[in-house]
Amino acid sequence: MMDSGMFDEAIGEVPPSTVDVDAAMARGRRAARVRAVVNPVVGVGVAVVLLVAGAGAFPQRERGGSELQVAASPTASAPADRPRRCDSFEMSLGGSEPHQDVRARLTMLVRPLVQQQLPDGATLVPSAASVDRYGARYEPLEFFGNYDPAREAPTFNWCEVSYFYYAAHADILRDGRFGSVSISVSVEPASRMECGGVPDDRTQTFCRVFEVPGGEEVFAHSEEYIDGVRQHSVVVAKAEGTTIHLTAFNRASDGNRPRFPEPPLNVDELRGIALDARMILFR
Amino acid sequence: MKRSDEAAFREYVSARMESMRRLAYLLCQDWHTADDLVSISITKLYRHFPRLRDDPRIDGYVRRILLRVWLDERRRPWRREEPTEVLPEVVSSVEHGVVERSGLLDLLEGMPPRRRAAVVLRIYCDLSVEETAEILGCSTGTVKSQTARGLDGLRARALAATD
Repeated sequence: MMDSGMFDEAIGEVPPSTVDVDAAMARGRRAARVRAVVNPVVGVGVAVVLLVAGAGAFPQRERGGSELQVAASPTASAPADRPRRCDSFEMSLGGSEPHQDVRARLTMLVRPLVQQQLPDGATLVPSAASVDRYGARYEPLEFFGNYDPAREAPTFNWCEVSYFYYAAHADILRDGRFGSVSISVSVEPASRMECGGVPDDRTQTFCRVFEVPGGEEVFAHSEEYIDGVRQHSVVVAKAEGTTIHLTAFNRASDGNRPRFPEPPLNVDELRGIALDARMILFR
Repeated sequence: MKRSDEAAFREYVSARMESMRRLAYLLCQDWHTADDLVSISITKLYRHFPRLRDDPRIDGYVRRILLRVWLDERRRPWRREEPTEVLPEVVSSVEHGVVERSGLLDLLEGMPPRRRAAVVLRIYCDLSVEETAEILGCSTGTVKSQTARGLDGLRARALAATD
């Protein structure tokens, strides 16, 4: 019979912890401050509005049952039967700006920022990753919400802001060859922003963690995989609470072998995009 | 959060740190990633801790947070596993249908994520079918079938490795 002791034995010696409890608490405090500043009525006002008016406007989830769907999405690319509750509700927690407006704003902002950094002749084409969990496909660098209703916990009423993030992807075609870029924008605290500690299948060729005058924390790094895939990544934690993660690969989103020696955007270019003052969730 | 809550939070996290790290490691099989998962999980816990601190189900909530953080991290494009044409060599043996301990992690890694989670929660965390179902957000029948398939898979892979 298998038991927990076998697992413990298989785990073997546990290395010293690198979990920084103080840093986690600081991030938790910061997230709480952001919520309090952005929307002081999160705990009461929104809940009351939803309880009073939301019964007919948002799909209801029954334990073990199916979801009642709301009306079709106003966007052409979203299927009519996708649950809208968390997509729309989440962003009302994020601020007063409607969810669809945030998506449109980020899309209109990021596309030209990326285009400006690309060499002449490079074009943005749809990415295989630009599909949400409901099967809706999105245009190159069109932002969409990513949320998994299965993550709703009975303890945590309503949808968690931190469970939600906006994502956008594009493949970049140039001279018949492809690279790709992925972006996420969320209020989730960034993972440990430290150099080193990459898995065995890759080598970190560049890494720098620093803070810029505006108070943003920047984690920039480059990695090379054993199969020749290279990636440049930048994580920016902004003082107002938004976390941006940009990654460029030297191959397309279909997972084929890389065709370019380097990703289409370098670390400085990614950093420039992420640090744009308009790249924020809360206005 | 009040100071007393912060002190209780620190005490709780310190007391559970090793078990959280072990669970995270069994899920992701990389200590750096495991520590990342624990860091993110306790950040999420911090927000809800004053409400949860006296709840006897708090350990279950923490496991649920950890599991969801792991599943979420896997979905993100920069965490996505890279395809490879060369499969890692699985070294294991089986004796009387029991998977040898040294190969357990390799065999576990070969399972789909939710099946791996079901096996870890049921066998390692010693949770009931009902508790596992609540954490995974699925029916008890699904937990039973996932666990059974997971254990069958472990045995089959172990047998294949010895052939």
